[in-house]
Amino acid sequence: MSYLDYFCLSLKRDMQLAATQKHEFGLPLVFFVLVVLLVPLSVGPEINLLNRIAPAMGWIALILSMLIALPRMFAEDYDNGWLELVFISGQPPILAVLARMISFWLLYALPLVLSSILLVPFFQLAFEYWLVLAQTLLMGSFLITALGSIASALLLGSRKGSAVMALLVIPLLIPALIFATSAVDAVIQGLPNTGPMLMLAGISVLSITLAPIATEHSLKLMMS
Amino acid sequence: MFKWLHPYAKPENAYTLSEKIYAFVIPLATLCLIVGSLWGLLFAPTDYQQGESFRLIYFHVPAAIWSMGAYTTMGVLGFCALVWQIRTLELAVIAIAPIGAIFTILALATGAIWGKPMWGTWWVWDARLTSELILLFLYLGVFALYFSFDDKRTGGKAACILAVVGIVNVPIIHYSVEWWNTLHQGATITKFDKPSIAGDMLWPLLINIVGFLLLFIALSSYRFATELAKSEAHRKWVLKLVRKNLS
Repeated sequence: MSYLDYFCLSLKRDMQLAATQKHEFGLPLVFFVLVVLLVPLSVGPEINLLNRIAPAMGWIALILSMLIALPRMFAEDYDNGWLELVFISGQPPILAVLARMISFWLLYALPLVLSSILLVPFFQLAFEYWLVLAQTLLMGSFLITALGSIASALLLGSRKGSAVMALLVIPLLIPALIFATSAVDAVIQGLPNTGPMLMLAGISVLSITLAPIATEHSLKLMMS
Repeated sequence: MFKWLHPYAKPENAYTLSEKIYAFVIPLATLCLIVGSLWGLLFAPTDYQQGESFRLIYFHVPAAIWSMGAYTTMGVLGFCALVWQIRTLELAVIAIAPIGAIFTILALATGAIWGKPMWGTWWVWDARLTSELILLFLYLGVFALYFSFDDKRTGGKAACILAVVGIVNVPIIHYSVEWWNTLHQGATITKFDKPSIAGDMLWPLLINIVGFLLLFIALSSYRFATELAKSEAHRKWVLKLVRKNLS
């Protein structure tokens, strides 16, 4: 079997499995909306303020909802022994890891990024600003998936899940958050935002390149 | 080239070596810290602008420098532990993590105490302060990950992986935060430039920086020895050691 075939098969398996448990994927979305709902209730319904903090809230809601979803990335495959099979199959495990990351991104991250359109009516964010925000969220979601895959692999054998997950992922996300919000702010102030956008893209590409290696290594450690 | 290093992969030898390092370094560290602190606190000239409160620099700067140095050390050791599969180095990573965290807290605390009279506030969302705070969370992450495993061996390896992932991220975090917002003054002493601090004030600072480094070395080799003995508690050499210490 060629590497490409193996990769495609792994991806297909992940997607087919996901199709059998559709209800799973709604929960992070609901969580996203709940976080967005909390904001006007806590800072007050004044629209100018909400409008100003809308991009930041989109990012915070994305990070929190991803943190809810991340522990599930490898948990089931670990429990039912599939991961062990991946590692003794003789095929490079990194391909299966990559397939899992891509399927996770498609199933959890992409819907969250798209659902940030809710900020347009809720916080009266202008549509063209939302477009920029969505671009940053898109690149950020790659980064969160990549870093999260390492963290969720590392936490497979551990007892406490989500609190440690936040501690592992959030500090490493801060650069992306900084560049993303400054990119959106630049557009809102009518300035060019190429710089932060390129930095954000660079961080994402770097993490997508390196994370599968670290994830594979962590999974191997948990298998042994 | 590194053949002389090989015997120290054996826990027993590593234990003896780190005990020796501790015994040798701790008097030096004490000496440096006493001389540096007394000189800095009592004899260094008062700053014309900041008054007496500038003297916190003698603890703040060394703690901040070695909080970062400790993380680098931890990352490099973690990398070596993963690449060459050396168990003893995993324990070194775990030994360093809390010391680094304490240095970070010390730097943050002294900075806050100094910031109150100087900047008029305990805390500002400034680049250096923020990246130091993030550094604290990186340390806590390594530590928390280690303790979330029942099997300490797996926990140690996981902590190593996290330390390596962190070390890749540290420069990115540092520069992103730097560009985000900065109020903190630039570095006062750099290698390549003439320092912008008077010599009388500089010497005690340098002595304290060396003192903190020695303290870091001493404490981490002490903790390392303890971790080694703990993880090898069932072995003969540890039993022998305990008997010798008891009698």
